[in-house]
Amino acid sequence: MYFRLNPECYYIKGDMTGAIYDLIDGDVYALNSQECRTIEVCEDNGLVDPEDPFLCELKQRTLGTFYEKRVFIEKIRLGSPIAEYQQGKPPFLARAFLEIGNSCDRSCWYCGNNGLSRSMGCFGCNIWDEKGSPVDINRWKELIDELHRLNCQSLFIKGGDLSRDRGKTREILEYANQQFEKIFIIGHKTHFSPEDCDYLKNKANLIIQTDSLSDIDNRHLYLLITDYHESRELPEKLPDNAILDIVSRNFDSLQPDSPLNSKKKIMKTNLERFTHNNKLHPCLANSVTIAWNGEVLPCPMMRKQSLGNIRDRKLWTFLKGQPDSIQEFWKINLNTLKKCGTCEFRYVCTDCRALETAKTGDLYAKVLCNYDPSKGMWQQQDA
Amino acid sequence: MEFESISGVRYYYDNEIGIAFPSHPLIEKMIQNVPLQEEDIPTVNTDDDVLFYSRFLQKLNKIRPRHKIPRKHPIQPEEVKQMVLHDGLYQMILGITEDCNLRCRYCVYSEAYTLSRKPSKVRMEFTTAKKALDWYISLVMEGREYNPVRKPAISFYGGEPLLNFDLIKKCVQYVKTTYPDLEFTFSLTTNGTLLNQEREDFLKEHGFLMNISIDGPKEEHDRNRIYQDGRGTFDDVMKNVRRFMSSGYDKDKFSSICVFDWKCNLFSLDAFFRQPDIPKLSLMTTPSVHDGCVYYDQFSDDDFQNYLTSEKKAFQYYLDHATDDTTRHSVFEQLYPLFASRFLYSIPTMIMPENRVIPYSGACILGRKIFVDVHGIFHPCERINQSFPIGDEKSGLDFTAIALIMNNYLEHLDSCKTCAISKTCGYCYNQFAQKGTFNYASEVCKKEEDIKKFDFSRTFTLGERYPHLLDMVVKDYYTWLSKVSPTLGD
Repeated sequence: MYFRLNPECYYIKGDMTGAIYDLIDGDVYALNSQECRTIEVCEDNGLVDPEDPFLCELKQRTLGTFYEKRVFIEKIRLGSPIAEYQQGKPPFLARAFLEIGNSCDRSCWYCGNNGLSRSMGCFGCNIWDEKGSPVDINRWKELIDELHRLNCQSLFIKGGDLSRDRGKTREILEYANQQFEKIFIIGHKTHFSPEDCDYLKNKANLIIQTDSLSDIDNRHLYLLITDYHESRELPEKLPDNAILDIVSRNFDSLQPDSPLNSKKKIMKTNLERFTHNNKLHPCLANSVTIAWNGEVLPCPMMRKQSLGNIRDRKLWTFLKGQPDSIQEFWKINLNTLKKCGTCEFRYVCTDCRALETAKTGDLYAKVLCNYDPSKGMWQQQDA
Repeated sequence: MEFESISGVRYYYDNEIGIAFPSHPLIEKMIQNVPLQEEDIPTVNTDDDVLFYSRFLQKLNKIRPRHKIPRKHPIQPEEVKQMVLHDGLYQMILGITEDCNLRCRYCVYSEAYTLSRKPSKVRMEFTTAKKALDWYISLVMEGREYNPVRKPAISFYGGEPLLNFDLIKKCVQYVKTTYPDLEFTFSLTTNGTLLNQEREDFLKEHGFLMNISIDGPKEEHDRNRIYQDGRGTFDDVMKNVRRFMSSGYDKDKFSSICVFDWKCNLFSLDAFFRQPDIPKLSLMTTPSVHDGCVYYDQFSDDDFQNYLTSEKKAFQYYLDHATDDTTRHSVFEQLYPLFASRFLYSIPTMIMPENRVIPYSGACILGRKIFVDVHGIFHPCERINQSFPIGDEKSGLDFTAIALIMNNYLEHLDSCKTCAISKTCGYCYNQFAQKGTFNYASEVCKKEEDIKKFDFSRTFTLGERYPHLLDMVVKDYYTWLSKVSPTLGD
């Protein structure tokens, strides 16, 4: 008999072990080395034992089945593998962060200004102690036009307390509204008055930053800030409209089961994510940030990685696909990182280049991970 | 739709999802909602199979497109412009002469095509080429804000373009001088007979990609590719090509275009193109059947049957030797794994076709490339007949004309919505084109289901024997092709 994984199931080989990704149900199954050898025989259309308990279990889980003859399994995929080779295809810009401000009266302990590392700080309001002067409102409007021409899919408008210059925020938002459907406004819970919320309704989605779980209702999206040492006290399952942002004061004290370096980094998969992560960085790709002072950054938290300033250049010049373009950051997929390249979880793992770079100073380093692909083992909590 | 591989495995093609998978009596019953009977279930692990296949189909249902959103309005000129600026303009092809020193028997401009133009001494003037290039480059420059990655590509085509070599030189010099900040790709499609040292030096200096028409070994090539006096051209072509290729120029910049017909010997063609001093094949095609084609009238039923028999032998041979040499992408790779991958990988899985501008067929947004004839008229492609102008050197690309052609085309796709294999369709404007309008899909596509069953059968037979072959060949071949063809051979 022969056994083949289903069209939706991909076998991903690691250094010592491997994994099966189910792109429809989203689960990832870690395999030991013996199971990997068996699956490799199967996927090469080799003969197998129909009583093999491992393969029978895969069939029970609807991941694959036995066949009397050799079969061809066409895997499900997004897009054409041939179209990927077309030179000169336009870059896909999924989101742009526009930091239209950089001032705030609050002094939140987790603000980017304090130099702390945040796992999802990109969705925080943050202000920065940086040189430069603010980009003027006309240039922001031009940038919105430029992003529209680049077919950018969504805007994240942020930058300190946007209510401090309410007129400017509203003018930019209304201008953006003429061209964009997906707009997000980011701020602290105290930044938005009830009138602001009413005004923003139907114009943008709010992402509200808070450090209190009790603030979360079903009206908006929330960025829930937590100190790393307090994150264990949070419930296992957060509301669907809450994003957890873990702030680390000291990386060296991370526990092996931390969400920042443990198995918890591994996400569910799907066709889009799998296709994306095969080629591109899971987070940096298809994204651009324009800082309050016009600096073009790959991510709102990577302040030292400026590609130039939009005061003297059009935005498209940062997307030419050349060595000094933003695509160089997009292309850092986990295959290209030394440790991750041989890991079977490389297409489902999260990765924050801002955190890794903050810890090591190396754009290509990988230290926030307790898995050793060369041994196929996770570091245990009591290790 | 169901089909069977040569080894007898049955597969089911699901057009909504866009994939085919091994069928099973249970799947067939479940898909048709027929209640299961004991006798329907032939395998030992009955319960396991029922559970497996019902869950498998449930899983597939999770990715089945649920909402179909038909376009509400005809395509508008402004919409076309945005699309072209964003994802078009990959190439301008200048047809710089209608003249040719050859009289190839299958040439679309020969007597074998009653509706096409015939060779003439008309050549493109530099003023015409210059204006066309200015229009193209101005659009590419305007389009940088939409697509910053694209670089202008200029191709020279004929007739035989080397008969107007001075124009090629002038055009290259003009664009490089006038637009020094742009990086151009140049390519030339030639019969290879008029190459000489001076021309080769120029082509090399400017990094030309060379597409050379070679139909195989001497006996194959000279059967159709002949001078006006009837002499074969093989010896002259190969002398020139071998000299040029051994002159230190990057061999990867050379590619062959091979046309074959029912009298060809596929085995000798394959052996020929495996030789390292022959340009790699970028395209294998049969003579066109459009434009009042009478070329095929010369073949008897026996000729066709003999071809089918030898082709079947070739496929069987390839099945047994597919991995012997995967580096050359010769005739058998072109006809089998590359054809199979083009067929299989052009099926848009998981994408709702109704959301695409052209929801059916494989047609592009016109303006993906621009063909300019000797008179300066813009056409969608060098292959489609010249009754669909999309602009000219005086006024540039005409987005209104493009929208009209595309809307007209859409109106003729009358049977696509109910077609059980619509997602497998690789046809474009050319397959439906008449003079200035299109034939209806319901007329053109009558035999398509049988053709696709055959294509699926061949493709899946290859995949059964070599599960990783298609991906491997695609990676090798398209990595190379992307460097020698601005539109991947389209």
